Amino acid sequence: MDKVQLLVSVDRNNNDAVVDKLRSAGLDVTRAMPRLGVVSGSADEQAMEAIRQVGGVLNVERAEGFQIAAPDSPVQ
Amino acid sequence: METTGRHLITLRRGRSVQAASFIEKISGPVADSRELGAGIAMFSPENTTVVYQRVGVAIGNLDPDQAVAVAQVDDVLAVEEERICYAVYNADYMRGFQAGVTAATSAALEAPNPARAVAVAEILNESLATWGLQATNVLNSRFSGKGIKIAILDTGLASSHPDFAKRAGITMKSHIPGVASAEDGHGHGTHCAGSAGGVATPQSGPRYGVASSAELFIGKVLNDRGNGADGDIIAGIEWALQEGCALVSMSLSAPVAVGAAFSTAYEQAAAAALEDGCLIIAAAGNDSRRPSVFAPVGHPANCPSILAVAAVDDQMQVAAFSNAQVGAGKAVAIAGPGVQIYSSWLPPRAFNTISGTSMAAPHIAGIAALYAESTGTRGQALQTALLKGARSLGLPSTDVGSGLAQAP
Repeated sequence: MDKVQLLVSVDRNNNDAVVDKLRSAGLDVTRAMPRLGVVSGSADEQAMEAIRQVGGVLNVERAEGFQIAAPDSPVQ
Repeated sequence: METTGRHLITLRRGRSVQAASFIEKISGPVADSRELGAGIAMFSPENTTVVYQRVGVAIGNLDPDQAVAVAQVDDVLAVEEERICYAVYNADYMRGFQAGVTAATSAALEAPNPARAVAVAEILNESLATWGLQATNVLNSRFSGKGIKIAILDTGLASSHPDFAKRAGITMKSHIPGVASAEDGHGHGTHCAGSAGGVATPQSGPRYGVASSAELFIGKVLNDRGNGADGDIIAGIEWALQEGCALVSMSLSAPVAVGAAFSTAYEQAAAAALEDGCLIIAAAGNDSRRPSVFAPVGHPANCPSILAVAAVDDQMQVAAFSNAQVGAGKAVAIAGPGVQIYSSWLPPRAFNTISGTSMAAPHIAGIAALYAESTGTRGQALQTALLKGARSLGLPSTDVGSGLAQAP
């Protein structure tokens, strides 16, 4: 089963309760960042819809990565 | 309708890797936009289909039979011919284009733009300070970022560098799981930290740092191979807020397609930061290839609450690689020095001269720290002061926003 890395945007005024509900919905929480209203974590792809439905969740998106240029590149 | 002969393939979100393996069997090589690095934003190598994971789109040269076959692949939602007219039908784009032509025409036919002539005349040589510090008036400023905290989210810092080893006010932390130290094993982070907050009197060579008295918070969010994950970068923003940073400088960018949505999570984080008096500054990205390709402001600089920074050279021209506002997309806020920029690097080399919007962004963060000190403002008000103080370069605002930042 594919685990996907997720960024969940949540209501900043209602953080703690949301994090618990996210866990119940299948999110393996990596970091809860209450000041920002963002929770990062991973979940089975099938759980995404349930996570999206949690009250207080504004959006669910896949986390991705950045790659900067190699050290010897003239443009960075 | 005019088309480019290429096809735009819309992929189911999150299934682009799976879809790509099928497309490869039908139409030949497929590359990930990130593996190709910056620079492929709009135009893929011939006969290679380029997948843009973040936006779930692939662009490739397909013959009619291949197009039909690709359309039948699971996880391919649509295959359409790429239209040439996409942005041209947009009034904002046309206005930007018109402004660009007007500026280029006046530059070619009339007397040199006075703002540009002044800036170029002032730049004599770099024996005492980099051209970037001269062109942004940093050398004449009585402010140094004293009492202002700047977070640099990057590959870390070479803390043994002679110009940093004895510099006061440096806090370092890694936000990458399994990476204990924020020491830089790449060079990029040390270069950016040098531009934003290098010392006023380096041990050797010219001065290259803007806010020499600012407190630096070095957050390692990119590993020594130069890659990093969204979750760790956002964790770095949270840390910067906890530490009371007035500024966050992010010299990282991923290419996006024209019209692509910005990340809700980054926007949520940046808006929260702004409310807390912390301004987030990011490189616009290096995906343009002027004069033919104007790539839109990349992720995450394309978020409304993040200040997007373009790069100019010492002749006050926009850098060929610097991303721009395309159509009604995210605007460039301001420009900073970003071509042939000398700054600190990993010892024993210790210094390096490189180019990129990555170099422009930390100059802006440093100059913003000087405004934070001189005006006492934070967040949105600080952004207003920074943009108001910029020097117009007579270039399209789609390229350089308000112009070249100037120290107070």
